Amino acid sequence: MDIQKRMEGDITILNIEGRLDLSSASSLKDASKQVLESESKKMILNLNKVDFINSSGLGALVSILKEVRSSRGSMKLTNLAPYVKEIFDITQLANIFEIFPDEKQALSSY
Amino acid sequence: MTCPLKIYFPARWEYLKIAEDIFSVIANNVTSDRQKAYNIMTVLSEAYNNAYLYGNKDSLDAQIVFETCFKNNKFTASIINEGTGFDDKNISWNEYPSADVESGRGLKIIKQLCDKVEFRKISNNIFEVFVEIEIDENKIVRS
Repeated sequence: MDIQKRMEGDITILNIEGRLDLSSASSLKDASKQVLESESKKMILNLNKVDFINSSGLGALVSILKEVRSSRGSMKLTNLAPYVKEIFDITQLANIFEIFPDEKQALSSY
Repeated sequence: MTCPLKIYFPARWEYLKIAEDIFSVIANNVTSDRQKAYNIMTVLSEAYNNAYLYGNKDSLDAQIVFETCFKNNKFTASIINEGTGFDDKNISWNEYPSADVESGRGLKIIKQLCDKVEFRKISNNIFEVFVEIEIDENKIVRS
């Protein structure tokens, strides 16, 4: 998994590429923690290039969301492929995360 | 696909990605339906992760055995690990973990995406997850 970071004003956008699974979950958690601690409490995770997610990847996102909320920040997800979105739907996590079709809409929601 | 295809994976961290790569190739060689192929890969990945996480990680010789077959429009797979397993009667299948809980979704994803799932205790320390997924006749990859 590869993570590219950029800023839009005071919002950090993480572009994630590859599989979000047991092998990569801790890398994403570490990257998000670093953002929360040193850069921004507002975060967008762009999952456009995530081609696979399983329950370990979902667990990592739940963990990050908990940390974001406990530091009074907010996190939004964008650009989920239909088959990735289905995993959120069947685990009933689609209602827990703020999910937007694209970055533009996620940014304008702040 | 050779039927049955049987692979012995060492039950070690460094084989997780290799196993997923193989599952991806298998899934995309079974069906041209992208959603279905994705579901197959998800199911295999969840079952394999479960076997790794709850199997015997103390032994360097421990293995996870993966066996699969595709015939009569039915994709089947078994993931067998060294571990005590669990009794699926104790799982509340309709209840998902609450939003602040990080784990506990894998088996439920498997159940949701498969047409048939069986959890079999082969012996005191051998456990098998068997899955079956039906493939649309028109979406079968024919080589």
